[in-house]
Amino acid sequence: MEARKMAILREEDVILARQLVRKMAADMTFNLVDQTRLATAVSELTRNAVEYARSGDIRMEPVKNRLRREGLKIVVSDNGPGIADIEQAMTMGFTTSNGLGAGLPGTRQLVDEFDIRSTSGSGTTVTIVMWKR
Amino acid sequence: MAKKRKSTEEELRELHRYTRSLIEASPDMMVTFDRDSLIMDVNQETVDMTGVSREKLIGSPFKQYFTDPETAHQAAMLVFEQEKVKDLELELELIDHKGDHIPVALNASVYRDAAGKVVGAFAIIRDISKRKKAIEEVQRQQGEILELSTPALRVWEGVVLVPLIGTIDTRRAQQVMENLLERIVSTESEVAILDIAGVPTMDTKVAQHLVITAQAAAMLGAKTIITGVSPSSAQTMTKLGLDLSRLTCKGSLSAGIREALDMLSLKVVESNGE
Amino acid sequence: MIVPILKIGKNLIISIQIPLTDQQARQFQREVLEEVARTEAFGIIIDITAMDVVDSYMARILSETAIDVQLMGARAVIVGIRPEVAVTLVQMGRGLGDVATALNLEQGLAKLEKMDARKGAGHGS
Repeated sequence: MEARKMAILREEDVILARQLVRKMAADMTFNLVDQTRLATAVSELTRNAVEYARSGDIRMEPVKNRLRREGLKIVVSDNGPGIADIEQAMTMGFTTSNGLGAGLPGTRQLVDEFDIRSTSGSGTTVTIVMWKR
Repeated sequence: MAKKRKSTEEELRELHRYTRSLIEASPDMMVTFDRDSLIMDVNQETVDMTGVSREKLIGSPFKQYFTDPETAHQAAMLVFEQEKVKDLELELELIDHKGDHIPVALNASVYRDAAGKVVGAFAIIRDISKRKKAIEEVQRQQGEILELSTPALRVWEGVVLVPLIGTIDTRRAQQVMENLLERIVSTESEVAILDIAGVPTMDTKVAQHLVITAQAAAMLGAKTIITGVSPSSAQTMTKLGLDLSRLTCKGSLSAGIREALDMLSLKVVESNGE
Repeated sequence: MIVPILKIGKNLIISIQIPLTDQQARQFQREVLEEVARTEAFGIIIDITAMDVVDSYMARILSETAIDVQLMGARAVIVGIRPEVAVTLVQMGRGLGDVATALNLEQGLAKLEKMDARKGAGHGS
């Protein structure tokens, strides 16, 4: 299966992105709960991109690890202001915008791998991976 | 003298024929390649598997017969680096004469000339598709057993019961959780009973799953009763420090069923023999 | 209206059939509260059977709406949460707060009735 990429520019794109990731996860025969976890994680991450940075993009790519286990890797990047204090942003209940308290820490709970890189002034990139059970 | 020398030559030739026929008769592919990973020699099985003639194979890059040439090249280089590799399963897939992808394992070591200088590598490439299939079959069966071992039973209108028996690992805990929630919805049950009397030990991860299950069930609109909690399980659950206020616990399964009926405002009464 | 609101007897039935953007979700919240005020409804049922994703923002809108409705003196029950959605929300450390929930419309209506019988006794059980 091929990697997919789409731009995140408006609130509508949040819905489109999560529908796209659900379809990919379903095609890769992820179970229903994991499809929902992935779609929800993408919803949180792309919302952040729209909310904080006004624009960004998402890339979804099927991957395999050394044990031939299949997974789905998702990278959400934006060119926004970046996060000054990542540790603080990853704490439950922290928010600088409207209702994003559970966004990042909640997302981390849903996936197998979670990586966030951010530079103040030049944007944020979040990479998540979920392996098939 | 001349006669004797000829016989030694004859012996050598005989020996060569013998070893060669062993190599040719091998059910595994055997290949030698040099430091540039160019093939120097192959056996008959290699010719049969790839469908490429011996002449064409010799001198061609080792990597070109694999689905992922880069990994194959790295594997070849690894042989020279480590002098020996055993059962290397770098997700190597050979492309056979029908174009099918054959998963293979690589066993290889370097070989030297009389002066001890490494001149090449000798590799045995084993078709492991049968082994792979067997492993997949076992995994599939494990999944089926998992499903059978975590039934969700509708014991009364509005009450669904999941008896847990045996060791629960994270994978099974997750499956139990998903099964139970699914059954709550499909049977429209307002009460769910999780009986853990048959679980010998419970680790914190499993306890956590039970609590998540109860919370998720509550979110659906169903109540959860946990029955048969052993002393050690109780301690595990307490130590977690999670919110257990939504959990109703009963000692025995029958007490749990009584509680469930009570929640549904139902009552079991004696018929007085009538 | 972003989501159709049906009045059946003294109750409002609101069924969210399409995914809502954040802005649409806020509009939904506003419209429900306005409708509760206009119709002086006794209770509302929000049916989310069709929602295959409820993220933290939508969860917050739903629980806020239910709490606002209660502050206005009415009752609220959310019904039809999918199992996979419930698991996901719980795992994220998100709930719907103390909002009453039920498996389906029928049980939701029964729950509203029970609340009716114990006036002022709060929500849920």
